[in-house]
Amino acid sequence: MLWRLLFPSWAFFDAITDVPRLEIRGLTDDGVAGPWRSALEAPARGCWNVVYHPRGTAHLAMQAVVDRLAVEQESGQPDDTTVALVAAIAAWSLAQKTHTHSDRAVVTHARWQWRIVAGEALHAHPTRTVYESLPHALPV
Amino acid sequence: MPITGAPLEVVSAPWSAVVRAMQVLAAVACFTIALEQEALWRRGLLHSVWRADVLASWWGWRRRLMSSWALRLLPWLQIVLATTLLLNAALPGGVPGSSSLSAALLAMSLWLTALRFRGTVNGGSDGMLFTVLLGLAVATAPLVSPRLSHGAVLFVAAQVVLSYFRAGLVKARQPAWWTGEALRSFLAIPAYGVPTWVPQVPVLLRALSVAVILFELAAPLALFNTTACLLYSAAAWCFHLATALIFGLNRFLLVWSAALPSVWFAAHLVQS
Repeated sequence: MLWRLLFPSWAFFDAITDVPRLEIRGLTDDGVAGPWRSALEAPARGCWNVVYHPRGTAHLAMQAVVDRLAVEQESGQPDDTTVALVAAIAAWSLAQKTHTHSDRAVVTHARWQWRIVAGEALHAHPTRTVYESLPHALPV
Repeated sequence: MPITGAPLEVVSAPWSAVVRAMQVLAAVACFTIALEQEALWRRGLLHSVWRADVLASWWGWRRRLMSSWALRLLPWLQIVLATTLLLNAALPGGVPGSSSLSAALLAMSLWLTALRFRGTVNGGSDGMLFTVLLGLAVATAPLVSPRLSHGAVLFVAAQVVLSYFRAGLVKARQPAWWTGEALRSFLAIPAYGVPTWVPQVPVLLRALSVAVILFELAAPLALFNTTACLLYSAAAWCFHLATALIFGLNRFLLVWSAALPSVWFAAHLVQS
């Protein structure tokens, strides 16, 4: 960690790679699945956010964990801690949606699950599923 | 507190100004980052996402420290240390070594934060801030030889130049960057939430891509002439302002602002 802090790779925005995306969906008790919804949405920015933007920083930090899981899964080096972190991010997103009632398609179901898909940034539809969780019971 | 070092007359004037500028700007960066961190903790992300039970096995022997309540106070400690750093830079006199100690403790707090989050919170910006703070800790330490204190700031300058040059090099190797296609793709990544006012005209994106590659590759030239260094630093600041506006990378603007004065010192040294 110390080494990575002192000597980062500095290879910013190098090659175009497929973009991993975290999605969640609701399922009924009899297994009927709702549509997949994006779990992480970039927060809006104002002028002041050029200096101070905690929501944006949190969003990018969570997306970095999602990216890490995609890299680990596709390189054949899965890590349980990363999976658990992404599961926690998905659960946090679900809680946010439940709290704000912003996505009833997910929160009105009995169970839910998350997945990571990847695809080109310029195309709306993902080309492959990188990881799909088992269904979980919705928190009461 | 007086800035230590600088025995050579030719570099003494920029040395003092450079170190003070770096201290002020690094303090502002740390202060803002600490406020962001506090807001992040207040939103409950440490208890819902980066939870102690999820990360405990990864922390290993550091588990007790990482999950302790004392770590919750880290952003407040950072605010106090950043204020101390700022006051030391702004006011003459003071406790010898307090500037160096503040910078060193701030660097250590960044390292603890990276451990707490199992990685950097904001990628390369955390790394650069760590470098700046370590550089300042050595550069302002009492009883340190001028050669070592100058070397610490030159190390920061080298990292700044390397950060641009390497980023330019990896882009130059990608044909998609020369055509503007890569920039178009990066602008389309949903995570960045690129505002709708950003133009997506292919000719403009191509011109911007080439400009970015050339700008980044030109970083070493800033070392050989102080006028070129000033112009490059101004361009770099505008570049970071643009990435903050477009990609939301606000921390990069703050941190590179604190790091850029080191290049001015290096350029002055090379020219003299």
